[in-house]
This record gives sequence, structure tokens and C-alpha cells, in this order.
Amino acid sequence: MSGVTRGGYALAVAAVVAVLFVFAPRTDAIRFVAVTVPVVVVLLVVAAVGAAASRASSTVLMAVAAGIAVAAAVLQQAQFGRDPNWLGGNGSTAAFLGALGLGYGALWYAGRHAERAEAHPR
Amino acid sequence: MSHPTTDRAAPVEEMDTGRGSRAALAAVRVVVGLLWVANSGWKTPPDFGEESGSGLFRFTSYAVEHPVFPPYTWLVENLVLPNFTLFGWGVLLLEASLGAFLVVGLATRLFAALGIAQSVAITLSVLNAPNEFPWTYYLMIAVHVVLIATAAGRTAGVDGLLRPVWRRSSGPVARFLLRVS
Repeated sequence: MSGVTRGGYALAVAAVVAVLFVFAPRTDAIRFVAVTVPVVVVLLVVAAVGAAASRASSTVLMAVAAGIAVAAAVLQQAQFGRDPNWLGGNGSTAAFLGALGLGYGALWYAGRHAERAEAHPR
Repeated sequence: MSHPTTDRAAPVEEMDTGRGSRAALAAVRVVVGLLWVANSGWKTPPDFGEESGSGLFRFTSYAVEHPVFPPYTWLVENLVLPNFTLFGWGVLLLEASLGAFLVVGLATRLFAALGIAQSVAITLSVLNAPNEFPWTYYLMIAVHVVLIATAAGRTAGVDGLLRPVWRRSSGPVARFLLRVS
């Protein structure tokens, strides 16, 4: 299993684990990331696309996973503390979604370079 | 003829780079990232607590109410507090970025250095405030030093995956990222 594939699965697992925060008591000692029902949907979609990307070794799907996560992070950062707040999260939600977006974006970049190196070996 | 083994030439034990140590280092990096992720949650725009005297505004005001370092107090009083919305957005974006980059281990040394800078700023704001535990802030600084010293993003982090790609590139961005990862 390549590093890109492993990384894709690891980020998908992280997204699924973060879903558990929706059940966590509302205390800062436990709830590191604010997760609401709409955020659960986003996390599960990112995890599903990311896992599919890893399974199929698809850089396109990696880019899609990154795009969804980054778009949700930007939306959350823009609406945090305002009305409407469609995702219902806060800055921690934006930061975590941003991490998933950065991670999948980096995996897309690494995967694309690996494909190029295979197509044009030096 | 001198003996080949002197005190100066005595071998030094290498650091442990076994699987357990690498896993622990990656875990520390992720936890430090989560520290910043979690702390992005209570810096609430658009006024960051300025109107109610709470949140980020209250903690920043401690630098004036309970001074630690007079030049920093002057800076907060004359530059930060009068432009608080701009400062609040800066803090929120910086801390959210610290969380995101450290969790995945991208440009880890750069963001750990920014984490030190931010930890120092927090320390200078709240160290003398009531009910604060000073070692919290010393440990925050120390743990970021560890991330820099060990290049923690190379272990189970994106830096480890991308460094070979950056090394093959001659572009300035790749060279910069190679240096700060």
C-alpha cells in the first residue's frame, strides 16, 4: 500500500472518528471540534469520497475530497458567529475541515507527481 | 600515541527512531494541532467579545490589566485593542491554520515556529492574570520546540510524503517547503 493510499484511508478514519464529537458533552474538556448534524453529513461525505479515492488510487477523487472539505471549511469560517450559520459549527469546525482539505490536497499533489514519474521515468 | 577513545570522542547514543517513538511523535504533533483546533472554537467573530468584554477581548485585555512585559502592554493598549476586529480575525485565522497544518503535518517546522510565537504572545497576555497556571504556557512553547527539533511532520505526516517530491523540484516554493518541513 502506497503512502498516498495509506494517508487517504487515515484521513477518512479521522473524519469518521470526528463524527463521534456530535455525541460528546458540550464541554471544552472533551469536545475538541464542534460537530453538528450538517457537519456530520460533510464529514461522512469527505470520508466516503476519500476512502473511495484511496481504494481506486484516484487522484481525481482525492481532489474532489479536498475540494469538498475546503469549501465547507471556508463556508464555516465565513459564517461562524453570524446568522445564518448553515453548518452550525465554529472556528474549530473550520480548522478541522481545513485539515482534511489540506491533507487530501497534499495527497492529490503527491499522487499526481507519482503518476507523472511513472509515465515519464527519468 | 593517544588512546583512540577519549572523552571527546566517546560515542553518543543515537535518538530512538523505532516505530513506537515515531508513533508517539506523530501523536504529539496531532494533539498539539488539536490544541489549536479546539482553541479556534471560542474566538467568535464579528467582534470577538469586544462589546461584552468577554472571550478573546477579555484575555487580550489582561496584558493591560495585569502587565507582564511593559513594551508588550504598550503594544496591546495602543495598537491591538483600538483595532480589535482586525486583530481578532488575525488570531482566528492563525490559530485555525496552526491546527490544520499541524494535524496533517504540512510545513510542520514553519507552523511550529508560528505556534511558539503565538504561545509567547498568549503568555505575555495572561501570565499574571488571576487563576492562570504559568507552566501551561511554558509547556506550550516547549512542545512546539520539540516539533521543530524532531521535524515531526516527517513521521506519519504530509511532509514525509511530499519532501521527496519537493526535493526533485527546483522551484522556489518547493525549496522553501523543503526547508520548513
